[in-house]
Amino acid sequence: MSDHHARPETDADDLLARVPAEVEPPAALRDQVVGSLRAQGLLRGTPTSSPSFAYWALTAAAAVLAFLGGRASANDASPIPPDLAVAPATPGLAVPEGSSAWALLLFEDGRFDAGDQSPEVVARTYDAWARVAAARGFLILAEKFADEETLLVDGEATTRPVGFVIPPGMLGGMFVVVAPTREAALALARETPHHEMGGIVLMREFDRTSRQ
Amino acid sequence: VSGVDADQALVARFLSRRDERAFDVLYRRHTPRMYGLALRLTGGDEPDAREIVQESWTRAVSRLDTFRGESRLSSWLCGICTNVWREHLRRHRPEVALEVLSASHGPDAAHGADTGGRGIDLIDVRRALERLAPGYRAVIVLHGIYGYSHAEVADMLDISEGTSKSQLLRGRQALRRALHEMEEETA
Repeated sequence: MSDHHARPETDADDLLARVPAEVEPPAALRDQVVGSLRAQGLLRGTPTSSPSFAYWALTAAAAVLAFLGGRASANDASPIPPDLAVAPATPGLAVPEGSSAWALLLFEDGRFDAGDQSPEVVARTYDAWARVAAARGFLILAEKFADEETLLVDGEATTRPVGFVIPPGMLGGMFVVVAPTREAALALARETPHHEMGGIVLMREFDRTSRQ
Repeated sequence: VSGVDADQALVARFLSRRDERAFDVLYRRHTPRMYGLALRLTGGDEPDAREIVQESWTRAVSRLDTFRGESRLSSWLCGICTNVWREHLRRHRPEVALEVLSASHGPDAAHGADTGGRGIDLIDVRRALERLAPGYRAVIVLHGIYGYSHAEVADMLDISEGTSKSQLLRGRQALRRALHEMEEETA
């Protein structure tokens, strides 16, 4: 701290400019604020870590596992050796022969509008779509991103709430689907509830050429 | 994407949902600055700072649909915070005016502070700020720490731009005097 010491008359102003503008508030303040907003009807009474989102992720993951499990059992002719199963050299997606895999990145900006639906209802809508898509063999992964991102630039990592690295809007989640053609993948993207709700879907094909 | 665009998207997201999850993103992004400002304006009074931040968020959320993005959301929120502090001050210390007409509410502004002592650090400056009259402290905090222009400070405190400039000058003198007094106390 010795670099902060200075002569009063000359450097008080410089020190003023170095007084931190941001101070981490006490953790209890957040609950105090939210409680007050709820009491005044300014905030819908939903818990922060909505079980429905966890439920959505869990059920989607279960659907994916069921899908992958079914695919593995149908592919008994080439069982994975136990040692490789523990530490696969190149983990990747189980993409059916003749198909490609696509990431559908789900953005939310000002156009996203779930109407008056509660987060639980929205989550169930996504979940329902994910279950159907998985049952049809199109969905490999369905996950929702947490509202925090870490950006690594030139070796320096910055973690902050929500992400605006890729415009427009905020990346809220993703699906990974398989489809035989770009048109088919696009049709799936158009089927997603996110598209129905006005959200932006960024579609990117996984480049699997190096896996052949 | 700029911080302004990000704020507008966050506000739009909150307004479309009005749920706790969307609010949390706004809260985590902006409360450290609001709490820091409230803490400085109240002279380090933590219970008062918490009360001011809570009331500020209540007002902000109830008016968020009027936020048009002409200014940064953080500035808009800090403006609300400053207003709430002013009302808090009027309620709890009605005798205090934000336009400081004399040095009676703080260290004597007429004295310099070339003390030749041990030197000062950030902790000293924060403590010295706490000793200042609220009117001096507010201008110094808003201009010197938060970087608002005199026009913005004048608008936030409902004083003239000239008053903001003169109070900054006198506030700095008072700050130096407070630092001098603190140095003498610890000598």
